[in-house]
Amino acid sequence: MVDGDRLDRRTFSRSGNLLMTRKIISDSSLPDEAKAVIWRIFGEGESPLKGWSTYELIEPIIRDYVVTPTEQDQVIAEIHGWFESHGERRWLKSEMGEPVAELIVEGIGMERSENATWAIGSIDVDLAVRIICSRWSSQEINSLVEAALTTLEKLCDRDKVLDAARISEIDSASAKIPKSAVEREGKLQTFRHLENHGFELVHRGLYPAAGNLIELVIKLRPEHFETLIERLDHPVMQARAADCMIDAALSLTHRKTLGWITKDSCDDLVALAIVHTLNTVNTLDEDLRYADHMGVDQYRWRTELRLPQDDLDSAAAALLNDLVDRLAVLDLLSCVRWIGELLSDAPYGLHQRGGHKKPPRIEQLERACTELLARLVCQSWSDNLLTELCAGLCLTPRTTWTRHIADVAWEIREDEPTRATEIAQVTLDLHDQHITKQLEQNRLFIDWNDWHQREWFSSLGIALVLSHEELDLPEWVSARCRELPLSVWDAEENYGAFIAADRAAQHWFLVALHAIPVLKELGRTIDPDVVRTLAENLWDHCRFAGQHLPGHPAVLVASELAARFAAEFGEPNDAWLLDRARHLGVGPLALWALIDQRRLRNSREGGTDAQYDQMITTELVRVASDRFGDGGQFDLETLRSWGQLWLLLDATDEAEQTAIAICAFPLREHDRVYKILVLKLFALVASKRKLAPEIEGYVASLYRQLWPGYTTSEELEAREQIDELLKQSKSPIL
Amino acid sequence: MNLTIAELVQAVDKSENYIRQHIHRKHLTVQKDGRNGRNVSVALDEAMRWASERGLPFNLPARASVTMGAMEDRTARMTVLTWHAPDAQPCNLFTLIRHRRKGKDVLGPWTGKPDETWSSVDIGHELRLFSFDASFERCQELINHILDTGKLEIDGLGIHYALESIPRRHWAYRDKRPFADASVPSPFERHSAEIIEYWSFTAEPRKHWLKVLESLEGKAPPQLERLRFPLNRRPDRVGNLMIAAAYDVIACDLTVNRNQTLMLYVDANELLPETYRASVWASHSGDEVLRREIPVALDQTVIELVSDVDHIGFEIFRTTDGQCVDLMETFLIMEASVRLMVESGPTLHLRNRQSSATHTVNPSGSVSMINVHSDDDSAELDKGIRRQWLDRQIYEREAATRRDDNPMSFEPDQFDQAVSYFIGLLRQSAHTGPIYLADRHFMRRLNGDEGTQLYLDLFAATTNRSLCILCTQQENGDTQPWWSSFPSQLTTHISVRAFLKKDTQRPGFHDRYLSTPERDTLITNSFNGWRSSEVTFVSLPSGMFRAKAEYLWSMEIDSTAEPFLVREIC
Repeated sequence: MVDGDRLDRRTFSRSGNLLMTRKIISDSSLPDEAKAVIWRIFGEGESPLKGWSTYELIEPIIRDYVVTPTEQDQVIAEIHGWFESHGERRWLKSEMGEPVAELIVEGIGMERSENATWAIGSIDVDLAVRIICSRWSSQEINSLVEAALTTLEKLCDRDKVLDAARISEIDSASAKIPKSAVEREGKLQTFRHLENHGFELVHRGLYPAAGNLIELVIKLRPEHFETLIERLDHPVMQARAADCMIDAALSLTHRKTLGWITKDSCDDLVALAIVHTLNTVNTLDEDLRYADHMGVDQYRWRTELRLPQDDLDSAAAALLNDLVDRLAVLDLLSCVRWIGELLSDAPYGLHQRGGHKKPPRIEQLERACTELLARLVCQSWSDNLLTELCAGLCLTPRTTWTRHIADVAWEIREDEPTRATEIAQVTLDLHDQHITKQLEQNRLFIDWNDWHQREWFSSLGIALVLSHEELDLPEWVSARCRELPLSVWDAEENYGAFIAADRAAQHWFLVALHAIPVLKELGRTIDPDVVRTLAENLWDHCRFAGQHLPGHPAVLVASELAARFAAEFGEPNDAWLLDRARHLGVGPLALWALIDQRRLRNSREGGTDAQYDQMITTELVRVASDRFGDGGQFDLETLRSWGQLWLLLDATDEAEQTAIAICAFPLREHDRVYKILVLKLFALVASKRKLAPEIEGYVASLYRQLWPGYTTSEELEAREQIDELLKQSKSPIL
Repeated sequence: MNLTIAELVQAVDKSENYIRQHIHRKHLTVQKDGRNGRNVSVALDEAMRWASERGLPFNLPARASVTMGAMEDRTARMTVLTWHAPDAQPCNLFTLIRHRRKGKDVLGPWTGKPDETWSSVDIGHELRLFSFDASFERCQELINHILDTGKLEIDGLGIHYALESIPRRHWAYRDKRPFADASVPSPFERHSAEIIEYWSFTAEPRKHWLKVLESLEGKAPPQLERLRFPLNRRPDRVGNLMIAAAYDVIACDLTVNRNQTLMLYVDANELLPETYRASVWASHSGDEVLRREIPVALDQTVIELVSDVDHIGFEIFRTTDGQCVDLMETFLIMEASVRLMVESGPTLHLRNRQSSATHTVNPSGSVSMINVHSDDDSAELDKGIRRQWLDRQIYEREAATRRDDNPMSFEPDQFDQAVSYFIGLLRQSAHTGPIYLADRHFMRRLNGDEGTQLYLDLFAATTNRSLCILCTQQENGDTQPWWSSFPSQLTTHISVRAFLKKDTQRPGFHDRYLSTPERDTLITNSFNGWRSSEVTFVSLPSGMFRAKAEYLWSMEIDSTAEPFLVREIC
């Protein structure tokens, strides 16, 4: 609804202009018959469906409608004078905007043809609202809104919504951007893409008259917003309408978009509601963050909420919860599909897609979604429920979406154990299909730094446990690995497939390893032999794969995890430990994890013999040192793990060699982690014996280079450790 | 493997009567087969034991191998490429039997007992590839059957063979030299191989194969990677049956360490002293810096170097007979080419001295040794092989001519066709790897409708891929690059970098080309010149431009340490 008070003020403040423009028209020699056809010129000229510009149409239309030939030339000349030009381009002078708008509105009267509608579309929206509201009755306005919607619908039908020439800023009548180029697989994705990357399309690429008509409809009849979204079947138009609504509403209430979701809302509207609700959450979080920096008094708030009286953090959290609750008003299957789509889109929509740690807002949203899904599964189970959930979840380029299904199984494990088993099995089946597909394309990757993947493995571990009453983990993994192209023949015949199969094998091991803590949490028996066998199988695989994949990392997260679990749950004896240390499949990271976990466990449980421990350590150093050689053959990442191992084992000679080997790499500014490790290793050596003078010099200069003064909190512990070791040095180094 | 009495006569250079007496006296155990047990044969192991005990010389029959020990300890994969012409009996295009030691350490922890069932894949062009895993003993039975009957039965299907009865023996080393006349490469990744090859001189299968290659522009169908033999480059081998025995009693590898040392790795279950000799060499910029004989010992042998090396190699010789049983020779090439070669199959790998990257290497300079006996049959065989070789030379020259004759030129008035051809090149690329487009003047936009449509088509055709554009002009101060006026939805996948010579700030490269993971295309004109003068596209299979592009793209942005000044434009 147009704000009447505001309109009056604007009218008042612009009354000088208004008088001037009225004067221009009254002073003009334009005959009435010419004034009456001005709208035809602008209507036809602004129509995206016609090929002529407004300026080009002046002459033919005037010659058609103005009777007297002598007057025709005068009229044409006068109207030409309303335009400014630069090169080939011409546009209406700014001071002519209002008088022309008045001529158009007057000229149209009750005419509601397409041309008449486009003529209205040629007027600046605020100006059009002002003139129309002051002159037309409510009925006339209603008929204009209806005509505008019909005209815009036609534009959608012909897929002529976007003007490629405006986007690329040159005349290019033949260049087209079809609707299909804008749409993505899911509606939520489409609108999110338009939100993130489509500003040019929504605000520049849309024909201006079409954009104006959309905004005019929203401003004249905001209650028609839902109808507009339903009738205009083009995401750019819908996004423009939603932007217009949000612009007006956000500063008044941050919860406006929740109201767009009702039992009868169309899919486009629900998608827009989700996109803009997530945007509002982002806005609240940004307000909270930036207002803190800039000061609450200077900050320009974007919603009605203000610090310190309002709790923006709680408001954002509540908005997320309420969004999920609103979706519950939809019919069961729609609700479940939207929840799926929301879960898959949230990392992008909440601007928190990547990174190492799971963002708290995502955690809140996932929690709310999982609880709702669990409730629906328990209360209203139907066979289609999971199908619809998957249809929504799968609209993401990530393969990790099956984790959400496993999370539902976990949530209902106590209330509906049979259903939980069934859902867990579905998770594993779907996951099998994904892996098969990825293997077919030789595209399978493991990125442990990505929280999605870590959560994924955790959920798959849950699914594995819940779906099996009896679980033989090594056999479960072996059965899968035997299906993979992992023989020496495969390594030779199809290198790409072998690489992918190796990753798949690591993947299956990770799933099985993640099942171990789940078993423990559920109080099920964990056989130590099984845990050790699982780790041994993995290391045998690593040994074999490493022979055929020279890039096979000696530093594998699966290997490290296997080592930790073997030491924690496998009850290994020290003979086993020494055997593993000799095994070429056990990389330095795994070896470090084995020894580290053994120490943690011993210190937790107590009762170890220090002398015996020292003997084992000495033997471990000897075995590992044989494998290390001079370290010249290892890459930087592997050397880092060797370095960690020597620090743990207090092995000075090896530590020195590793530090020297790391220094042989060209370390750059951002390789601080390696430089710090070098310092630690040399400091360890210095604490035991004197370093060579040139190394002492190097340590001092590297130390000063890293920490000329301030030390970040992340590096503080490392610096203190180095300082402590250097203090024990026989000769002062710093 | 069993020897006939005639073969044994030849092997020990004694009369048939002498041998039959020993059989009669039960000094030599025979096996009877055939109807009524009339056909008598002697197991190879038994024959060698018997000869050795009597101090008799033992000349191995041409079809036998003694280097690999007992056959029952070996496992094999047999791959058969067949041609199924309509209304004709399927025939062999190429058969390769690879065999190697059994054991989980060799085959991998997940490999079970060979299933002895045939699997097959239809690869179009009337071709089918069969594969069969079995013990080598079982494969040897199939080979014998083929030699006896000229046929192989696969699940009721009779495959016709036309093989010369006397095989050739030669060695295949780990050698992937790109030039045509190199010895056949070893089908094993970690071992060289002893080859026994039965030749075929029938013309029809070869003609069909050449026709298939012609239709595929000289490339073999991708499924043929499983064949482990480059039949597209070796059409003289069409119709042959090849038995490749991995020389896997010992496994060697050579790597370069960062600290200017070479490391020779030797792995073997047992290794008696002085069983082998090794020769290792290395050079730098063409100068030999190392050529040394070293003892072969288990695990690692470190060899000090006095300079950097860009070329290394080694040979392993068996002391008893001086036979070279393994050879590897490699050039250390730039990382940019690694990615190109990774997908072409197993290659030799070396670690970079400077980083963690693994280098794929391009072997060259191996020596192949063929032991040719001169007798009448052999002369005929030589003549046949020679004829095939000459035919192959002719074929290769024709193929090279066809490949070179591929330029597509477009006059200025054929602008639309040029765009369509260019976009077609992009659309044909099914691979997901990055696409490189080098155009010195990319920053200078081709104006007008045609230009806009060209750019829109270019951006649209590469959506969901990574489009890396290399140019030699920097952006104009604060103004946005011209493509920022296109919807960002269509341009989010493009990256543009400018490469300038560090000292002069002049353009860092001159070429214009498009490089998809499948091929390189040289383009003779920048986009903004297509309408004013002609443009020609030349497809090149070499990957040379991709290597150049990857090399340039791998340089650090704004770094003074790089050979070029690299600026990120978007």
